[in-house]
Amino acid sequence: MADAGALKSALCALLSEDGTVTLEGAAVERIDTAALQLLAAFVRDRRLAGAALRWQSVSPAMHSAARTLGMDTMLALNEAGS
Amino acid sequence: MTVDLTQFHDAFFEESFEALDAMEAALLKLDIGAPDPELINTIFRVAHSIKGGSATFGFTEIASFTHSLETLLDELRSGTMPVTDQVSDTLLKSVDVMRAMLRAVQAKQPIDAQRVSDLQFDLEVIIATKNAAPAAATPPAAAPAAVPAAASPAPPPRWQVRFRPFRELMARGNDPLRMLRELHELGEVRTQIDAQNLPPLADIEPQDCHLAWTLELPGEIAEEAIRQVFDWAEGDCDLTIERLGDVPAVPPAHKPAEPTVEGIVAETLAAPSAPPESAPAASAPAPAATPRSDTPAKTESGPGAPGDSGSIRVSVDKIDELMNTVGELVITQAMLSQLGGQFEGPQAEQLRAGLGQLERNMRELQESVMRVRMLPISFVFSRFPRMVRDLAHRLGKQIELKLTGEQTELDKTVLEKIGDPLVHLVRNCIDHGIEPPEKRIAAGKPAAGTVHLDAAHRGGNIAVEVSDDGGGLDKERILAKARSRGLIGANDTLSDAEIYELIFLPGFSTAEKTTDLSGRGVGMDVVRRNVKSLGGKIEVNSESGRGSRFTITLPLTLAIVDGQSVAVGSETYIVPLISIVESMQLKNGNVSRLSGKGEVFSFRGDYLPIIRLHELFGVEPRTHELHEGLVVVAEGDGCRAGLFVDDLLGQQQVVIKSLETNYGHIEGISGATILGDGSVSLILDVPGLIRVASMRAAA
Amino acid sequence: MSTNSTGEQQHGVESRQVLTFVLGNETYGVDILRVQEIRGWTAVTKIPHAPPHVLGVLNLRGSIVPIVDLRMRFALERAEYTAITVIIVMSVVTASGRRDFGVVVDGVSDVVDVNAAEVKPAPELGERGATEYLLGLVTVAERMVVLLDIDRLIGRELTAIVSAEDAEPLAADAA
Repeated sequence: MADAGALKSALCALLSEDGTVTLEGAAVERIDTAALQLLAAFVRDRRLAGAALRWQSVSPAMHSAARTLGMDTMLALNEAGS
Repeated sequence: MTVDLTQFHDAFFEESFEALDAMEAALLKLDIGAPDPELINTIFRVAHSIKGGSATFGFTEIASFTHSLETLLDELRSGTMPVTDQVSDTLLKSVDVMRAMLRAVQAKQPIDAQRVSDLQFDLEVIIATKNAAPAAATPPAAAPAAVPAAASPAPPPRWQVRFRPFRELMARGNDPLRMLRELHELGEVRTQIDAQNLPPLADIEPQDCHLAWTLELPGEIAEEAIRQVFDWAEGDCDLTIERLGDVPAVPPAHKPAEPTVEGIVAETLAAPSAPPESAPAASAPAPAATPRSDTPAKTESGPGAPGDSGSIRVSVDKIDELMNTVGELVITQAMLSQLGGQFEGPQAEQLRAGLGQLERNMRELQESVMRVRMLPISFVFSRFPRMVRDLAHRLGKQIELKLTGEQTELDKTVLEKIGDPLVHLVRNCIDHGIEPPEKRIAAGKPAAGTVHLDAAHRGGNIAVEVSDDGGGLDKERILAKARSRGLIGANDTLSDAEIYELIFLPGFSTAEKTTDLSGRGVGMDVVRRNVKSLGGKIEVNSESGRGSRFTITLPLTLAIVDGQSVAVGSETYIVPLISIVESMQLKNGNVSRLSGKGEVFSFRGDYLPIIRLHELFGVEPRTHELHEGLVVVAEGDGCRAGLFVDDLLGQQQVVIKSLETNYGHIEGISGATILGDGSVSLILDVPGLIRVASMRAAA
Repeated sequence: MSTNSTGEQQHGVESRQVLTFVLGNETYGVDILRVQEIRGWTAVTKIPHAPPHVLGVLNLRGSIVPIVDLRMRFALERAEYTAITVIIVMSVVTASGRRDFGVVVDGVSDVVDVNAAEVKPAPELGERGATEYLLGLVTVAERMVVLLDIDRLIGRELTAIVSAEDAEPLAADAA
């Protein structure tokens, strides 16, 4: 939870990044709703801005968390190789 | 971050033990055949929370066992399995096993794995036999052909859960992810997220929750189980649980005789390979009964949930510390008051008014702190339903247990120590008091005997009574036994009360009882000694053919005693008021000297020995003349004596301090207290004094 | 605080602080770590059946503490208790745990550092048992100090006084 603030800053910095932002989710061992919520907002905001985004890879832990919360679609996780 | 979970272990154990007590109580109240759903919920909740806790802390054996238990309970809760005697017994045994497991884990001892697995097997068998039967009748949805016609067109019932966290839910430590995961454990969940209110990334406060969910779960899951998942989020979210696509409950055309669990188990065990009995289809559509969809319940917790939101757990040490400090304050305040009385001058009146106020506040503070330590006696009474049931079973007696005054409060320390003596008395009543049914009927009494436990406040004390409507104490047998043990002479004639007193004598009831249920050869003398060590007394009343009644009178607390201050020479002693019969001045004429018994005086037709405290304690008194001082008639252990003192000073509540902390036990002294001037005064132990004095007189 | 020899302080492990007090013509010493408090004499409350040197009990900040007269314990001539009579409150370790008690002495003198190497064993005085509560003798500022083993001197006695007469636990199986 404490990392959510840091994640937010990092994502905000990436928000206006030109070109394709590649997110690397392979190392995620534990994730909570707060972080997923930020990611969801990030993914949505990038898309609204018409900017490209790609998941490099997604760990099973992250996949399962997102599925449990019904967020896999909005995070576009399924488009990523896991 | 690593959290050391062991710091939570104590709380877990404590809560679990309490929860098991509640579970046991609920089980005992459970009506076979027509169980109260609330009770089953209570029981389920206990199993569920212990399962959760033990899984968290890695107590896998407990978690595994409680999982089986929970499965069975779930069947009971949904009504798919009837509550039979056998189920209820198995559940009671489960309580015992869980207690044993928790105790073992707490003490870091190995768990009795055999006992656990045996019972777990029993549980599994009950579950399996139940499932085997209706499974044949309720095939999975994939084979709708066998589904009863009425149910087939409608989609299976589902729960729809709308979970709308408030913004601060996560900041309060609740993670929706965790809750949804728990839901997934209950069954297949269809999840729909609502992210409409998710603000732009830059505006999100990371700890705020902007998401909401709509979830669908299979209808077989008990509503309670779903609700439980959200227990922690109570008040931090909007939650609605609704039942969708419910089939109107179709009452079975004819109620087939449900196979009893006993029957099934017996069959299964006898012929495990036999195909499961195929139950009539009508008994199958199980959970359709009493859907709760008509109550779009808000987020309130079930009414059975103990309302503990307004309480906190505090260790007894802290309270004792507080008690001590308050005790100190009382003494300091008394000292100030004494000092204040000596002042003269314009402000003296104000000072005294302030001191008076301080005294009142102190008393209130003291009472409040004392109340913190007070618990209702139901904590002790609650163990009896189970015990009585088991004992009655074993002895083939019918016994009704009546509990009254359970809410009477007393000090935790007293409460802890009164349990064993009460157990002993109740056992005695069942064992010796209540007659077998035939004998009762022959005597024109109802077949079922009654054991009655009652508690009430009387004055500054609490009276706990254990009575039965059995045969009463057998005077002839008691006399014969006392004679054969040499406790009384062959020709002594005794009053009824004196005869009953005999049972409390050490050596009265040892040999004969070791084999029976009244414990391990413990006699009533030990009961009396235990009661006495609490500063209380025990009396017995009995009527032949009508029953007997044991009355234990106890101080409300061990920390404070109502005392009479008496002066002997320069010393001040405190005599507990509970021991005092009356105080009187002796005239020269009514004292006589008996050889071997010392001085006696006549009191209400009896001759009581006089105990000269100054002699016993080696103090120089103001007077040696009996008629110049006073005699305090005191009673202990059924014996009375006159304590000769110089003068009576006053009555007051005193805080009891132990002499044994730094010194040791003194015969005839139960403790000490600190008086208003800071000096120490000893508190007399009247039964002890009488004993010492009679030994001296005999010597 | 005074020290008799500055050199000793370097041997922190072997030297310890001792509170010395006067009793008649002798100077005695006890481990300072055992001393809880030093207070003036106040009247005590007598306790029955106590040995003669146990004068009674006092209220020490809420706990009841027995008071021992060391003069009587050592069979010295009895002194009057006056306003300058001093009670040293100490704690002893006994088989049944820590106990606090006070000793009445003529006066407290000093706190001194004592080097373990300088402690001489107490001479056999011929009288049986008379030396068992002595840790040894040490010379401090040209005065002989008798180091007392208060656990033996007081602790054992206090424990012996306790006549354990607790209530027997009731056998109640949790059936």
